[in-house]
Amino acid sequence: MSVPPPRRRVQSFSDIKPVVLQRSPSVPPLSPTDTMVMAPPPGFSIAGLAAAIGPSAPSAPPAPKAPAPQPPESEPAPTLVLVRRSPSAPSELEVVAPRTANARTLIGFPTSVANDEPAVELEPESAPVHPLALRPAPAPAPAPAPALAPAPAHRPSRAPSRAAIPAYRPWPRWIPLAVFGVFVALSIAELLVAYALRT
Amino acid sequence: MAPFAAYVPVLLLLTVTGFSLVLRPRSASGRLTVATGGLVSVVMVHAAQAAALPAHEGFTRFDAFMAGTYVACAANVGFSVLMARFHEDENRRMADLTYLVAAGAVPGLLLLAWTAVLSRLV
Repeated sequence: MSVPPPRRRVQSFSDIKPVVLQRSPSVPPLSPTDTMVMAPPPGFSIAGLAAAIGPSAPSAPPAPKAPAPQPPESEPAPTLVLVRRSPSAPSELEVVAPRTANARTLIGFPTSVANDEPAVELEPESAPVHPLALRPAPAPAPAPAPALAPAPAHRPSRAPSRAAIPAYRPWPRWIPLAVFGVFVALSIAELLVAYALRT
Repeated sequence: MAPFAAYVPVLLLLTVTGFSLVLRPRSASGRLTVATGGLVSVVMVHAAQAAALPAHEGFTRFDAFMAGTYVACAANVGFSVLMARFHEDENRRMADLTYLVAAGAVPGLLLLAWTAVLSRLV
């Protein structure tokens, strides 16, 4: 029984170490709609993500409870998940690879990780909801996290929404005229009083 | 009643100071400087006019005229201070309201005071 490597929280994108990929000739080229996720979404491990999505190819190995060959003890857990938009439902993602915890052998991408640090886990501070929701998990699968970690380009803004900021309604421009009109009226009243007192 | 020439410097100073009324709240500090300088200048004009008169007692018509001018200038300073405070507190709405009210109240106060003086109510 292998001990899962410790996970650390990503504070910024600079914490995510680059992974150098070299495509194997046996792997077909990626389509433009493919999306690569370099770390599991919040609440997901590689195996849990695969279990939540379920096998989409007959050649896929069974659920992660019967995982494929484990990496060596000293090797960090794979952090590469290849997903793509579902052709039938564009708002959903489906996992292309890996099917097991060992991404190298199944995905065919010989990866050379730049360092030996354990896998990182993306955990945004406020769990933003990504428009690309995951497909519902099968019954025996553990409850997945509510949403997939957004890509940096799609990260929602932390700024308060426009509805939260009260709209500034400018004062009417006739206020100075109204105020000045009051004083003009008082001045006219003064003149009338002065005229009345004189007569 | 002082000669008309005695009023010319005051009218000129008030005209220049009146231009500060169009300065927006974000320029409240500059507006406060102009208002304070205008008030001091009017006081100096009044002092110079009073020194040119022979020694006398009582409150002349020109003194009453200048007192009304002081009220308007002091109101301009007060509105400018309020505007600067609201601007520092980033209370844009109240700063804008102060700006609009001052644009009507300062010339209005001046008109009211001068009317009261020139109509011999005070």
